[in-house]
Amino acid sequence: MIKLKHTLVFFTSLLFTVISAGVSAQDIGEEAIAIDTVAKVPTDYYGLRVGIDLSKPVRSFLDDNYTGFEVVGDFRIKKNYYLAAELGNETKVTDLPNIENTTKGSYIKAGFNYNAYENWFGMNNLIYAGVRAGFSSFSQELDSYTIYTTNPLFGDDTRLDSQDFSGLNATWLELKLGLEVELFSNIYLGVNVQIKRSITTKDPDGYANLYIPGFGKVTEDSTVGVGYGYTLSYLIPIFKK
Amino acid sequence: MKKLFYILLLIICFGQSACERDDICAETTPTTPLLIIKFYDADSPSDPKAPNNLAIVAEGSIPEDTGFTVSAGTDNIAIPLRTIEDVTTYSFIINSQEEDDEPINVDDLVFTYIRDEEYVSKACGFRVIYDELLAELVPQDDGSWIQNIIIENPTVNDQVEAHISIFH
Repeated sequence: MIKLKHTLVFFTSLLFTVISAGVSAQDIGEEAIAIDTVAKVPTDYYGLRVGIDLSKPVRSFLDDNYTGFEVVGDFRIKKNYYLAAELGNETKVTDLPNIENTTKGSYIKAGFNYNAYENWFGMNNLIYAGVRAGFSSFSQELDSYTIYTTNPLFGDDTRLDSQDFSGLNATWLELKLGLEVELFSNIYLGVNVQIKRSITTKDPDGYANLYIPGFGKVTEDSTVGVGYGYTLSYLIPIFKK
Repeated sequence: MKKLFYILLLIICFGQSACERDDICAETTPTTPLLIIKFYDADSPSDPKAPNNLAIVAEGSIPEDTGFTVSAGTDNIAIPLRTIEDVTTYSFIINSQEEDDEPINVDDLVFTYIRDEEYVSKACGFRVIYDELLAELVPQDDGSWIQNIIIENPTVNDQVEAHISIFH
């Protein structure tokens, strides 16, 4: 699991290195090209971009304790602003020495992205910052748990009678940074990181939320969550400006 | 522009490493409480009195019939109560060492209680707390060395003060 994370970090770094090298190269070419384009040809595509988060199926394949899927979408409303949303479903087994728990549920995140990248002529790449409001509805199954004691005179007391806690939910605010690069015509590859702050949670009676779909792992002494995504999406062009 | 990449990188690295910190049960976390017993002098009930070479054996322990000895001069002990049943039986053996002048004497104590489960944390799991604690003295053929038992606090949910006083 740790190894997998490190692998992901490595590839993220690699991707950044490649992309940043590409961007530097573009910066040099920018002025030269700009001279050639006197006429105002409409090249800003407006449309609906839909795709999936590649990291979730990949993680589902590699990690026995995780299954997830996420659909992403955005819609350009102004030159630099995009309405954006993500819709997903996750199942996560939290397997700890004293608790084994399965969280299942769906989530939606909605908000907007601001594109801070000045494209040179004809390009439609994004380096963006975004905000989202997130909502998740989920259930937890406490598969097994240990009665913790500091004196093991009577041996280990592990209870295997599983308990269901349904009707749980959570809301959070999310800050997102990412980039989208047009690989081929209308096909985009994206990478993003998310920092989240929990706003409300409905915890089960006599128990706690260990994982929230869309938000991630719940840490007991903080309200902060983190996440990342690698997206592959297709832009359905509706009009040009 | 490059700054943004570095910021992203930094955030990803931070996100990956900020983990597992709360997955280990800290020793200071209050988990299933132990029963605290304090020993007093039966002739002078306000004076603590350590029992001589006390050994305690638990019924149903793992391995069977193990327990522990109490070091000399200790006038209070903390012993676990069973978390899977509403009853725990201990044999309290005084003068348990061979070189003791006084004869060895065994008294059984049967503790009964009701149990309640409580969630502690994801690292520690759950704990059991006890209520309506009662202690019954079952002397063996050799008579009893324990003269009186007083339940000081029938609710065992912490280990701050003694729950039971034993006079001998």
